[in-house]
Amino acid sequence: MATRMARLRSALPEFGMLFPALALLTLFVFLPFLLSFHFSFTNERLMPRPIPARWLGLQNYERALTDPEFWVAVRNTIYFAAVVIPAQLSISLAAAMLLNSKIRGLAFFRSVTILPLLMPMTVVVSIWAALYRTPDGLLNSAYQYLFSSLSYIDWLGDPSIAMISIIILSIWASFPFQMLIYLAGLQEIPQDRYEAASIDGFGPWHAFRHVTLPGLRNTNVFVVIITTIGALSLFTQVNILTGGGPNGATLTIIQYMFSNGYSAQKIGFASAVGIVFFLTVASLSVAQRLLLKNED
Amino acid sequence: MSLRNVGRGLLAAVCLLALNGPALADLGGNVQIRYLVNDIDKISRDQPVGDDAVNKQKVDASGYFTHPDHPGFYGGFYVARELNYKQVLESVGPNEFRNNVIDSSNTVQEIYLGKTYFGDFGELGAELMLGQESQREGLKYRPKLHGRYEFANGISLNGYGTVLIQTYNGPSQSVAADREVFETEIQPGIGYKIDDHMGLWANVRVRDRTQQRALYGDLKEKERFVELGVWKNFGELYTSLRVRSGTFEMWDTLSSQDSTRNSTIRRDKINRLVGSIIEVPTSSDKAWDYEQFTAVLAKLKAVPGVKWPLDLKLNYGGEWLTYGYYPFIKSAGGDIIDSKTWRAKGTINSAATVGAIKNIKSWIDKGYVVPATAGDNRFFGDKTAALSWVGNWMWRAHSQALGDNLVLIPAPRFGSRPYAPNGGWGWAVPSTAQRTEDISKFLNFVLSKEQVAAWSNITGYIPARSDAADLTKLYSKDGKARLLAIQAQEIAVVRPIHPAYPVISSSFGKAISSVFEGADAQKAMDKAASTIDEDIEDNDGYPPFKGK
Repeated sequence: MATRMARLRSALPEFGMLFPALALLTLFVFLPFLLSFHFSFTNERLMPRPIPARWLGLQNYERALTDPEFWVAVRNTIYFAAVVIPAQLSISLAAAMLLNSKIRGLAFFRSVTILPLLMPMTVVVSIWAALYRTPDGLLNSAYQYLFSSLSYIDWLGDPSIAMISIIILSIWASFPFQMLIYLAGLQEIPQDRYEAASIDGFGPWHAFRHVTLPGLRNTNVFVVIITTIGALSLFTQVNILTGGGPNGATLTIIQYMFSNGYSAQKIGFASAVGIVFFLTVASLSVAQRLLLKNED
Repeated sequence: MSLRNVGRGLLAAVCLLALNGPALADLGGNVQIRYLVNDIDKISRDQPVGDDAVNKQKVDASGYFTHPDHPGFYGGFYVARELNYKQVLESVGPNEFRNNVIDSSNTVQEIYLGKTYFGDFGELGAELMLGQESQREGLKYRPKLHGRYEFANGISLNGYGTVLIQTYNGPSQSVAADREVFETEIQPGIGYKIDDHMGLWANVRVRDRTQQRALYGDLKEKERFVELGVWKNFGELYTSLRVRSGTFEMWDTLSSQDSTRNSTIRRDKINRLVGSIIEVPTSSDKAWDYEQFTAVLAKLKAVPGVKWPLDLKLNYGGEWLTYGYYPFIKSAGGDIIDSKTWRAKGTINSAATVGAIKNIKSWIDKGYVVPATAGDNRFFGDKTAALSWVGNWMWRAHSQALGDNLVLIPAPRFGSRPYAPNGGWGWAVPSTAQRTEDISKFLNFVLSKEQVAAWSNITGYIPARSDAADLTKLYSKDGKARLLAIQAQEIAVVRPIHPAYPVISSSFGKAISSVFEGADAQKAMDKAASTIDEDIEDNDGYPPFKGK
């Protein structure tokens, strides 16, 4: 009896502290998710209508999965993730290792490197829009200076280049986040492992391969998963810069969902796309988690 | 005269090696090859808006021949390859400039023939040069008079004067910038012969040149320099060394310190030019048809300074796609949706609609249209676009930037009659509203002609009532934007009135922009048709909407 009371007494403050977070999560995450799960089976619209929404069963899912445009979006999203994840992680790790070494003006470099993080993505994107501008943005001026003053690259208007432009800007804008996490991970690695490695005659490459990488294992799991989720949910850059164009070249799943849900106001359909997206990303994350098991 | 770009510096440090030809039979004379760098210091800093400073690298070769059988006669040639690069400062906005480098090269060929009369006093001669330059059409002629008067003790006065005329015989329709050239040059000098093998000279060159241009005003050049030289003979080998110093000025008779004025003047020139080659309609019943409009675009494309003849506001996206391009579709006899059956299939993908979209796309393919990624201000900012197809919200920005050079042209037609865009904001009262008296009082006030006129005067938008138009400055009888109000009243097309409009418009917009970006027109429109029809069916035709 006394132990039960004690257990309750200790659980009450725990629950009390959890409650605000749980309430907010329920209100802004779980409930909307359940709602959109429900909407995905109906023809619910963004603007209320005089007639009630109708139950459609799996029709929204069927339409999404048979829409060639949806598959274009899936392909683009996978392409983006497949390029961005390895490229961004390598750059982040390289930058983290540079900033983890003893160089002059370390604090200065560290603060400069995380500057992109301090700007909201919309601001970053607007700046890059100016850089990508044709025919006289900064990048085109550089191109014309170096190569030909008569031609220019339509960074965002050429279907074969637009996605690459988005990739470049996305990597630039968000690599410092992964870099910070890597930096923290690097500082966790005990220095004596490197000393032992150097006594054993390890060169820098072997030290990296056999000391740094295993030491970053837990960090890697986390970073890979959040980068994957971030890459798959690419939207801001595309929505502001290209709106999914030119001719679908930068259409991503979230942009597809947005244009159906907001521009065309088909919230039911967009919810179905959202559920498909959620299930895909969730299963990918679980798979990654299982494949990249934590140490211990 | 407004601005001068003064370049100053060592005009040339030329090393001259001329070989006194080992007599080929009896032929006398010399041949020389030079390499010349003419690097003009860029426009002085306090005059940022310069025009054309030409930097040159030049390789030339020349020859001079005489023959003993024809005493006094001489002839020669001059060939040169010039690598020019011009730096032009272009205005891209108020107090914002950009360096534009224009590369060009030029091959010059000249031959000349002359006769010199020798006397006790010295010599007097005349020659005529005939030449051609690869950079321009037309020939150049240059008569020349030269003479030398010898004093005793080795001192001589010498000099020459030339007049150069370069004709222009380009095609009469051409709007190429460069036309005739007129140039005068005199070079008086003094020489001193130390002995038979060595001497010194000093001379002054005064050169003035006018390059007439179809646009931008004439380009003037002024060159003043002093040249000092020494020559020496080593037997048959004749050598000389010379140094020049002086000023070179080049200025555009139209340029001014005020860049905006400058480009406005250019704009004015473009307008006048357009006016001279194209008849601009003033009312909708005389609107250009598709072929005429395309021909206008082609002509404008050739006007120097015009990068894109037409700004279709491809950068807008969204609702603009329907607002802006629906009138063209409608004018071509097409439509987005049948307003009786409310089915898109057979209408949005009809031959007329698809044809109209292909017709717009062909302008894009020909490079007539400002690309979506080139920003918003090509028409009124750097003025590289000649025409702009846009709504009345841009009136203020346009008229502020272009002033009197802003000309309204009636909406072109694709078919038998033109249509203009229409749309704005409306007032709506919910059917459940209680205080209907207050609401009607408010609405009657807001929508009175005085208030509508006041609203229009502030925003520059077309007044929503025709009787308010007379109370506004812009839209009254002699108002500058009267045409807009007339179009809004007479040929404006209302976008489809249907509860599915968000789907109708977004599907049409997505389809038309994908066609502009390279998708197949028929396929894109078929897809839009099925998306729209599917949505209307899914919603059972959107009851209680009954179709009209």
